[in-house]
Amino acid sequence: MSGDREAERAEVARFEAARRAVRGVASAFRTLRLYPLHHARTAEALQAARAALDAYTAGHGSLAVTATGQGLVFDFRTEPYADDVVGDLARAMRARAAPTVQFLRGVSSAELGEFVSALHLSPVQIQRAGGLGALLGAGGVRSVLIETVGGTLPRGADLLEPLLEAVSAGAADRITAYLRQAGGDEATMRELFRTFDRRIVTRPRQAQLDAWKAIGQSLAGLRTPWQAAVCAMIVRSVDEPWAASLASQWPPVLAASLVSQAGGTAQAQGRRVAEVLRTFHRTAPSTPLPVVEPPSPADLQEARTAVAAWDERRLRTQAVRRLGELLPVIGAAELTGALAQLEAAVVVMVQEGDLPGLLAAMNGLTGAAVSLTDARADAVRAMVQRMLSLGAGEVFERTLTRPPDPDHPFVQAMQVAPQETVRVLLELAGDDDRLQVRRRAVDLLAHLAAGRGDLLVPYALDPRWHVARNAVTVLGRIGGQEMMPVLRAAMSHPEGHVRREAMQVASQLGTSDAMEALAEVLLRPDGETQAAAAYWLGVLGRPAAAGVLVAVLEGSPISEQVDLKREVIRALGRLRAPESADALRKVASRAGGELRQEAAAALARLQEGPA
Amino acid sequence: MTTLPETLTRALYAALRQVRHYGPQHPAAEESIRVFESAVRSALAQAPAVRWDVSADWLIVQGALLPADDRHGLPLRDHLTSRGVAHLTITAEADPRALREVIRLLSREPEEVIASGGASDALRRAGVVGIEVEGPEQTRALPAETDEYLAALSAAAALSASVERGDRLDVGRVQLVVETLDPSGGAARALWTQVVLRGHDELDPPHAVNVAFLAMQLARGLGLARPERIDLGVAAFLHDIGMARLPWQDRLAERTRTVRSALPRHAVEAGLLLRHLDGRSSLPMIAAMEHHRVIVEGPSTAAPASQLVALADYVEAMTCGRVGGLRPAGLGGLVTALLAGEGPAFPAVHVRVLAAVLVQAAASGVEVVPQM
Repeated sequence: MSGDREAERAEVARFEAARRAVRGVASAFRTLRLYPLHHARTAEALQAARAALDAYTAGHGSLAVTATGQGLVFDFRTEPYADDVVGDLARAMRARAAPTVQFLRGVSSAELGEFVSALHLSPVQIQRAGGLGALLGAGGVRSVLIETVGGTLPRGADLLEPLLEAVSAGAADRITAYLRQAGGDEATMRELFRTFDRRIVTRPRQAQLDAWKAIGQSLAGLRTPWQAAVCAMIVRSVDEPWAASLASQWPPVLAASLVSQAGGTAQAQGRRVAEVLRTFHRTAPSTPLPVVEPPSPADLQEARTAVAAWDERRLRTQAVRRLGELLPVIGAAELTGALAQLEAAVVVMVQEGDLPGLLAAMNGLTGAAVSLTDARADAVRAMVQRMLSLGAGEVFERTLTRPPDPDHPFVQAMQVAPQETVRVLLELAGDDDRLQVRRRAVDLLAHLAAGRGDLLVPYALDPRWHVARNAVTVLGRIGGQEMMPVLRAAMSHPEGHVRREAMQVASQLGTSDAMEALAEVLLRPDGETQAAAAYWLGVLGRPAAAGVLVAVLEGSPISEQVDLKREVIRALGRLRAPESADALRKVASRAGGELRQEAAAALARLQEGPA
Repeated sequence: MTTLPETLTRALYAALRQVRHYGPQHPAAEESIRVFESAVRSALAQAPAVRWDVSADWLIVQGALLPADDRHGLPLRDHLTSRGVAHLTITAEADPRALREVIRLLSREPEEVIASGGASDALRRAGVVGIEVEGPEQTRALPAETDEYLAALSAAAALSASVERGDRLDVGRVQLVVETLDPSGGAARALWTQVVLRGHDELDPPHAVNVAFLAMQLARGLGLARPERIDLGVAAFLHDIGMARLPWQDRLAERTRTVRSALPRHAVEAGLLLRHLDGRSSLPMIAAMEHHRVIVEGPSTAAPASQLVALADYVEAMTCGRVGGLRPAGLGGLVTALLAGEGPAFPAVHVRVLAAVLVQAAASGVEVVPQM
């Protein structure tokens, strides 16, 4: 019974001491409303508050008070305490989103002055400063801890500066208090340690070790279940650098006690925690350096040569190659910048004739275009087109001698930008001054566009004759009955080169459609084209064409269109169609010297029999 | 009922104090020794041994840390540490004479204990069985960082922070820092002293600084000219800068010891950050993107600079760790393995140059491999 009475008396005494302490703070808060901070009255009130807090903390440790609607609640009892003075303070705390305040041992008058001054600021000002805790931290207040609600800072963030300061001062009780204030929330604690670690990681190594030692010992001094919880957290964060630093400062022998602290099912976890903590203390492997002969001068020279071989251009090529690897994995915004950079490099590479660089760029772009499926693919394809326009000439001439293997830049370009690839090759093949180049280009295009004649169709009517001519040539190489409509159209192209090329291709096809198309041309009022059509009808070799050829031969007086009629007579000779014999005889008997000779020769071939 | 650590501590401290003040024959001392013996016997009935672990910072009794404000713990801690006692273990083999002897011995003045060759030797000479005293482990002070090294660390941290904020990279500043990491003679030895410490994490600023230093030492060993060494050093300093663009949690999984991809995320991020398509200025981009490729796939398609950075990075990363237990290998063991063709296939001549520069550093007095 006497024990109970004693405990009751102690409880009453503690409550009285706490009541005096908070009344002192509340009085200082009220005094500051009437007088400025450095006024004697205010200083006196702050001094009294400090003395009351000292009296409490000396006997009972730090004092935590929480403001509620009913008044202030102390951390050691649940009933709120309120009077008119304290009520004022409680309202101010709640209005400033700082319901819980902890006064640590050794709090000074200056710190209390900062605290009550801050409580007089408007909530908006406090919010702008990052919360009451941050405001006090910036003001150098270390012994008044604020637990905010709904603040702008993450929980524990405002503890960083006070913690750093406490660690520097080696104040174990303050470190423990701050860590307790971070709460049992593991994420908050982890973030606090992580940020703390990053703040001290550039300090001298010894200073870092000292800092972790201070924290490690503060944690080691905690009672269960806190200690076990913190250890478990360290183990769960075993990958984090700070966890290793912290655990290494933990007395190794304590690891064993964690097993005994954990009971029941937690024992296995305790054992695991202890095991990991012991791992941290394992000695680092220490094998002596091997005895080894240094490399010979020749080896060193070879290595230096290998380094020197990577000149500016080769390094640029390698950089382009690596950029190509980035293209498929970066976002749209980054992609735009990367492509712009690549375009600039392509311009330089074209100027310098840097074929490997251009090949690397092409490979990178085409690889990206294949692997991308969204809008980024379009951007890459557009770049492929620009790339071909900018640098294809250089690439073209040097790569045409290579067999079109799968790595060939145009093979790859064909996969991602076939229309543009076809266009560029057609244009580049158009220069008649470089017949070898043209031939190789056509060969390559015929290989690339095999089975894709549709890609060439639009170009067969291109107003640029060389483009249209080359398209028709390639179409002829690719072959296929379905191309006749295109050839028919090409035979009407304004440029004779194109018309002639189309007729040649048609004659090579040798079909009845081709024959009909050539026959149609033969009836046009263009002597030169008609002559070409007659020639290719002869080459085509279908006797059925003889009728239309005869019609042309007899369609005008013999002395007119001599050139056309010469070609018609020769074609009839090639065809050796018996029904053309009468017409040829007429010419042989009536015409002038040249045509007569041609007709006689044709009749002679006719008599040799069918071709 | 278990014997509390506080009880054991109080009994030991009381016995030491009484014997020290009044001598072992005094009745008060006799009584305190009896109490101590009783406490020890009681504790030994519950555990195979009674053990005090002492350091300047804590006192642990039977695996439990005594609070710093324990009335007897604090003076006992000071008493024992001043006499060179780090661990005191008493087993059931210890008879009353042995307990009396250890109390008598430890109650002497510190100078006397030290003059007698230490408590451990003194107990052995006295034929005490069942009681063991161990002295503190010898710890050597860490060598102080040079100003250049600290400045380089700060630069690495600042660079990382600026990238995290989304600022542009200041490669020019990196070059100024790297130039200070390529000295010769005594200054090089001072840097070697820091680089071989290994007490940092791969994600810490020293990693960038050390990789730059090692890469330039390799280049020096190969006989490359200073401008080439500096270019290489800049590339090495920036090789992991892409980490700064990743969330912290993701960086933990991108350490060299865990990465299996030839192009991990931080290499991609570094490539984007350092994007530059113009000859030697592209080296940082190339090395940042290729250093893991060399480690994972071999050096065949990588630039020589990337191969050197990769070797420096691998050696640095695989031998560092905040605590010894987390370091996969030591410098000596790793170089031995690489020379034997184990691990990533770095060019043999590069590995031999690495071995040579490490041996050279050791010959200049740097403790490349810590003495056990």
